[in-house]
Amino acid sequence: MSRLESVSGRILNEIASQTRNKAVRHLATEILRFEMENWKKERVHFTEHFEQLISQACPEDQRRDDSS
Amino acid sequence: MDRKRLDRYDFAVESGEKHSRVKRLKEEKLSPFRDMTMKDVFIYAMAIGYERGKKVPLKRRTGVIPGNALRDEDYALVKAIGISQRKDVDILFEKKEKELFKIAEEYANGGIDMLFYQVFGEDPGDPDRKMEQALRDLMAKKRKG
Amino acid sequence: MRIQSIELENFRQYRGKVLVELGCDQKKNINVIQGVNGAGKTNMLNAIEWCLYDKEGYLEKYSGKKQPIINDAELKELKEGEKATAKVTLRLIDSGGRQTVFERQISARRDKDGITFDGESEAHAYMRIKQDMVELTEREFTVNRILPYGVRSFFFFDGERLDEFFKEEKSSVVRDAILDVSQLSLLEKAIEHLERTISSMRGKIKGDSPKIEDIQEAIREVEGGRENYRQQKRNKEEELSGIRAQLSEIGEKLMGSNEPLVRELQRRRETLSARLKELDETLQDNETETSDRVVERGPAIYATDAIRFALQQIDVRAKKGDIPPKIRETFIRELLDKGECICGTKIRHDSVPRKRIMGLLERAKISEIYEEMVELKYALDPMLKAAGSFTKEQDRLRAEIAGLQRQKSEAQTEQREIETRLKGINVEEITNLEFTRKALEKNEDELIGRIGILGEKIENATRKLQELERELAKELSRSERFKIANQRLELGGDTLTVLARAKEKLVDETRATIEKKTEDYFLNLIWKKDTYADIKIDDDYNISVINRIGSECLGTLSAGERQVLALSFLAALREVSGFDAPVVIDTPLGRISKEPRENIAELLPNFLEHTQVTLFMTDEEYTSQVRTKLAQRIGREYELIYDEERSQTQVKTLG
Repeated sequence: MSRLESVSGRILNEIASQTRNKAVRHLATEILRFEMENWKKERVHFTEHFEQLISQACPEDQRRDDSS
Repeated sequence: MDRKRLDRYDFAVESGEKHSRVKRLKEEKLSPFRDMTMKDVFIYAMAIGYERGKKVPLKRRTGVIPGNALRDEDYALVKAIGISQRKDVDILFEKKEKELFKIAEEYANGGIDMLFYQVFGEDPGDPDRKMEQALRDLMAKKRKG
Repeated sequence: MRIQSIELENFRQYRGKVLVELGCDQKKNINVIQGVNGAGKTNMLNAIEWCLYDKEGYLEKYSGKKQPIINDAELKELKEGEKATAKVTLRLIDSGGRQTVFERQISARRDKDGITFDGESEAHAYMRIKQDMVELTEREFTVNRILPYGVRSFFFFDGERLDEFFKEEKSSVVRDAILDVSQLSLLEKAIEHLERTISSMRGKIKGDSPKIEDIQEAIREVEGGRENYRQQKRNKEEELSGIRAQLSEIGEKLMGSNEPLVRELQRRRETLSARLKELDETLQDNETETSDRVVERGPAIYATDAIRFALQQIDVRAKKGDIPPKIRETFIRELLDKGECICGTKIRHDSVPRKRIMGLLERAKISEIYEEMVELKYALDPMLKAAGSFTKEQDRLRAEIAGLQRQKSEAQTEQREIETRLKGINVEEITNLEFTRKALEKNEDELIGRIGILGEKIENATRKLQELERELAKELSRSERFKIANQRLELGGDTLTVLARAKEKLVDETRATIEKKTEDYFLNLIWKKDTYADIKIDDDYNISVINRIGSECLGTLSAGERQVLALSFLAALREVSGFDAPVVIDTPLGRISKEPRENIAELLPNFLEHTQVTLFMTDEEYTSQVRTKLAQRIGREYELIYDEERSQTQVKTLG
């Protein structure tokens, strides 16, 4: 029905075509999803959420596979 | 055109002042290359370097121009210059490819300063016009001589 | 999404409860509500807007007094202690059959001292989940998901103001609305927020060297400066928009002048403006072409000697020897190793056969590159030719440019003459308008210049920032401590680049698609089939219409044609955005004369095929001919009748 219920496929496809880096794709998608849901609500401040997403992708634990 | 060898290669520019001049030619608003790519700057510099006979070995390399950025015409020009420099077509052989590309790089290295001066030098006028005038002068000279 | 019903209770001139049910049928998707001006059409549209957004945006076409929201008569008859309430209920249903209800009400009480109105209205939203109507706690969010305020002019609009889409000062409104509806504004938000997050992350890194501190300080400074410039640019752009609106108004006043001479001069001036704009664009294109050709042909010109030499060498080498090109080198080597030819002749060292075979070997080697040489020749030949014709082509283009500049100069001279003539007209108002217009135009030019400079400053700042960020990354990578921090910054930066590039690409794609679809609709449906050739929509969403001889002719379109263009644009926007809202149009045929009116009525269903359409029309618009044209698609028909005596509107079902 309404195009505004999920991030449009067009945008997601374009992101996928720009980079093969999984971490980048994931971060970009999550950020957009956040914006989608927080539109007008602004409950969680974006800085906290985005920093968290980035930290999760590059964790302190060195044993984790950092490959992109 | 068989581009396998070309697509494998990265053309280098001399790091330091020459490199920054290439970048400025690509980035500055007044430069005729502003809507083009580094490759265009490189090929143009190479051609000027050839015409003036300035082939200058690179002191230190920084790879900025991927071979696959060159169009077929650019590759043709690289080959023509290679053949002319070596006075022989044998530069086209696969085993000589490094030498061919090196010739291109060294002429570009020699020509970059002249190109830079043409565009950003103190001569009055629009950079586009200055470059065009340089071409016209060159063509006139060739017709006479 | 369709409107099932609109229920008004004591809303403006609608006393008591009034229910209008609209057709939701796929085939019969057009509803007509007719009434004279002042009967209450516009207020019904206002009711819808008020219910959804707590705003009323539509002009009263009948210049009565502005009434309070709650019905006048109701208020008058209130006794002390009694309460009167105005309420609007909108029932919607989506393609899946799910029902949503939006309600808004406001009350007033009469007490000893008079009537007290509620400060604010009260709003609710409900959705049918299985058998129950469940109240939605995030009403505003739901409204904005289904019928966003920012794009309401794409589904609820005043038919007489449709060509607002073409006004320069409104183009940014159109652009923003499109970004909104196609979610690209989401991307913009994401980019803005991610940028700030990265900045914040970077700021938190406590460097252990003064160099890192210095770089961070520099970054902060440049970022601050850039933000400053961005704000300034936004302000200037708003100012520019305002000035353009004023200029547009003056233009309208002049066009609407009582003096025929004034109208004529203004019309001529506007045509010249459009012409100048077109000339500027062509000039720009030509200048770019001359510049591009220099960069393109220059290398071949400088390397002409090399090209000639190479071609010569290729000719010589290829001609040497008349052996078929594909003799294998390996075959010949084997012969030499064996010491014997295939014909039996012995090949001894230094013998004539050996020399011959060595010669063959040489040619065989050449044959390895024979194909390459042939290809090279075919590549170089045209390059040489193109190099040779460089001056001729440049001269030709320069001559064209000179011609265009002459035309431009002539047009500008004529414009100045018009200005002088208008200033000389002995009517005070006209002279004043001219002076004001001149001052505003000067202002406009200045602003455009400043906005350009600010844009460049922002670009420079961004480049500087990228440099500084690279430096910082380099410094941080020296120390193990910052490895993780660096990785995180890099991830953030890479993602930012991806988002920014995606946005740039999609914005342009969207614009191009809308342009194509608008053109398809327009050229398909306009009745003057051979007059128009092209529609162009630029990056700022300014629309131009190009006729068969290649000139811009938006200004010369008749009201009817503009309406078709507007409807085409709207249909394209809706299609591209995938937006499925019902459409309500107030007086779609108001400004249109008889014949085009019937044409448009016939075309209307084509623009809005799978949409529920509700048209508010006057009896002048809704003629029997128009009715006939729409007959097959009509769902419901109503008439609004204003009862003078009782000061209220009644709704009568027709058909």
